Amino acid sequence: MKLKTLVKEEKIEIRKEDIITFEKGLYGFESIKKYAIIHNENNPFNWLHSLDQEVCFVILDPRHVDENYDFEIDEETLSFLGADETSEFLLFCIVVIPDEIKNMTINLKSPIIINRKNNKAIQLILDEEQYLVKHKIVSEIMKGT
Amino acid sequence: MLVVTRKLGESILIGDDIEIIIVEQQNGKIKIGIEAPKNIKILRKEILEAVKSENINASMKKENIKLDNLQDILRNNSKKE
Repeated sequence: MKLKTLVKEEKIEIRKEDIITFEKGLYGFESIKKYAIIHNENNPFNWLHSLDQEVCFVILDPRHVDENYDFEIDEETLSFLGADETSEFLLFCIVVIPDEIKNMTINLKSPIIINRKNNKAIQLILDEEQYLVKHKIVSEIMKGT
Repeated sequence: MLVVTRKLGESILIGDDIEIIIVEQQNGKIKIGIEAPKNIKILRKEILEAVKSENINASMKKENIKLDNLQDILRNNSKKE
């Protein structure tokens, strides 16, 4: 299908195997189930773009911000995604970009995981207390430099 | 909404599998114990609300964002560390 996006001039070709399904949607967007990831050459930032509505998010693999980012995926989630311990996942968190882009934050508390085999995805809310909903990507010390 | 008054140590049962126990009460804070099957999600409400609100925030004003600019910022940030 050809997708008209909010982020590129020309329509983008989306193949069936590119379609990511969030059976539960994203928090706050529960009715939107189908998305595609729009890549940008070698840029670690990508767009997660809805296929049925004009909604899109900037996403980033959190390990670019915290290389030790790690959490447990429970049985129920594995089962929901049709996965097991051997499955491979894509991992992303949603980035919020304010007017002053240096102040951008990433939601480490609520990652998105995608089962690479079947493109089933879910947004989790982690128990781990050290991960914040608004984690500053640029640390305060750096900003002052 | 069902409102129930409990004393310390007393419980409430929800369905066949969920038990809520009043464990401790001190300084206006109440410690609540929850027994529930693993497949039931248990969350502090304000966290769920914060995540929803953050997602909504994130979905706004996309027209002016250039991913290249974001990449530059990320690169500069890691260089300095």
